[in-house]
Amino acid sequence: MAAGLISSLLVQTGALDAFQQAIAVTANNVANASTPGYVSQTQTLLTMPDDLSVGLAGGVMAGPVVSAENQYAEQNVSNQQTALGAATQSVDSLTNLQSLFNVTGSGGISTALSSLYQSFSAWTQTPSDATARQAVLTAAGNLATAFNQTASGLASAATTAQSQLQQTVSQVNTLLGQVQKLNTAGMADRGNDSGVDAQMNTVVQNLSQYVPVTATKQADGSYTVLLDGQIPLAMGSQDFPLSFNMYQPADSTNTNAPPLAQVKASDGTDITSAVAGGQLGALLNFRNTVLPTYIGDGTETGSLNTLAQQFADTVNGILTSGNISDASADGVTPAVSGVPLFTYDTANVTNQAASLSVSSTITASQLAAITPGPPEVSNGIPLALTGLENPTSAADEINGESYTAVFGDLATQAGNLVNSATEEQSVAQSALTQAQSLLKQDSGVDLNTQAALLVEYQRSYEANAEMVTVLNQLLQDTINMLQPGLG
Amino acid sequence: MPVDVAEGLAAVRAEVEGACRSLVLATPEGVRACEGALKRAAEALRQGRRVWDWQPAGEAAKSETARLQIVIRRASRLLSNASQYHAGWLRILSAMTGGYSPKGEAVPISGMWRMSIEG
Repeated sequence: MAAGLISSLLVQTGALDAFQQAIAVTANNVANASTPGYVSQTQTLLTMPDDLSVGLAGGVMAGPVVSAENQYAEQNVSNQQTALGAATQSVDSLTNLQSLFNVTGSGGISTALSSLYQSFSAWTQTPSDATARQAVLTAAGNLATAFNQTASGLASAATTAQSQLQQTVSQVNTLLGQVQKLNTAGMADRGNDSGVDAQMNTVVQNLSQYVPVTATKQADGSYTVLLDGQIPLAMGSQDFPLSFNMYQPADSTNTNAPPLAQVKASDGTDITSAVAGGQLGALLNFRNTVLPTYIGDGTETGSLNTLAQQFADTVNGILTSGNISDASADGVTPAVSGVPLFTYDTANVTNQAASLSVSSTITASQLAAITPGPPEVSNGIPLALTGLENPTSAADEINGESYTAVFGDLATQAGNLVNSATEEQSVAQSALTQAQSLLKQDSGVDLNTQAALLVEYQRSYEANAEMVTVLNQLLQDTINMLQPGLG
Repeated sequence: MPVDVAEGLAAVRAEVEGACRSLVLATPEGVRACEGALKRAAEALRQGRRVWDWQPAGEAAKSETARLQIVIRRASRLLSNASQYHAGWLRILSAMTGGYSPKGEAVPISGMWRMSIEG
């Protein structure tokens, strides 16, 4: 009889231990309900074999703690973090770009171009007037300066993007270092530490803002982190840091052109094209795709340079086709031909907007006004220059548009990029909230559920404790009953 | 149905924004609520077109149209994300219960009687 009671007592104390552990797990869930990256844990309870004939008294014991971690939902959140990271970075970079293409303010290329056309028009009225001629030189100088400032702003945006790329790669590498440390800790306890998992989830979500990653938990407790699903960033106890550099592509036809950005894997492989999302992807897109459409690169001139060069060439062509003064009636003194107004760097096509200037040798009196004809027109050149504002000839246009309209297109393009990036940022924020909500439904800590579990476990614990007391009393009584006989 | 185009479009936008809020929560109740809101928005647009098509498009209407377009795109993205998420889950559940086909695809769940027992 005593053996049966002792056996029952052991079963009840085993159950007490199991419920105590279950209460501890539930309490841990409640305590970490707001911990970022924490996933709900459940204490499993195992039924013990019940066969008294062979001394197995049954009962309950604590099994392994099971994590409600849902890697599928975690990955969904990561993907949305990547999309939001890219959109946020794009808004930042493009807003700066848009400010360089102001068409409504008092400064910039648009205003300077308009002022130059006005000065041409005024010169038409009084072609010999020194003041009108000087106004043309001043307006031309202002336009050249506006081009220089816009080009300088774009170059500055390129430098900023370059610096941000360097910082972003450093941040990615810092996070990979944290993944490596957590992997080492996770492998030490075979992935059973919910705290390590919570920290890993947080680090992976942070990493996702910068680069598109997938993180998969392995049987040894470590996480394998891949870039674009194929390039290893962290595996087991190793991390594989990225590197960044600027380079001139092999197919570059202009070695003086602005270089492009390149991201390399730890083995030196160029993985730039694989980084298609996150802040790093957005920066690469801005630096290697968006900016070159304006400032050019090794294979293209850039629209701002094309505009500066074609406008300068057209104005110079018109001026040099005219005469500053007529030939004398007796033919002794020949006619004096016009001279170019603008100069620019002809050796580097990507430097044309930055180098555009009014010729240092030209004076107001050297502006040619006369069209030799026949018939000769005394204000023919100012008239032709004024006509550039609303061109009728394809030679005075770029792809069928006036110079003013081409600049307007550049501004519109920059504005549209900002608008779509801003909209994308707003949508990506909603999509991230949605993904976080889906994750929370699957693996977050629901306080109502945890409260119900706690009550259930406590009742079971109390019942078991009562049972242990009763059994203990029974055992004591049995011993007391046996004692007189023994004496 | 407001006769003013901008007002009518704003009312439609409010419905779609409500649907977006439900979709962001992504609970089963939220998804059901979103369906109703989107149906009401579509019906309001259908009704409105009969009245608005005859009116000149003012600046307010143009701005409201642009805002509505943005909200519709957001709802579309949220619906698409939710759909992809649940379709992915279905593939995982299908593979867990029915395994994979010879082509390597998850076997679709063919009926409600399938059970998966672990342990």
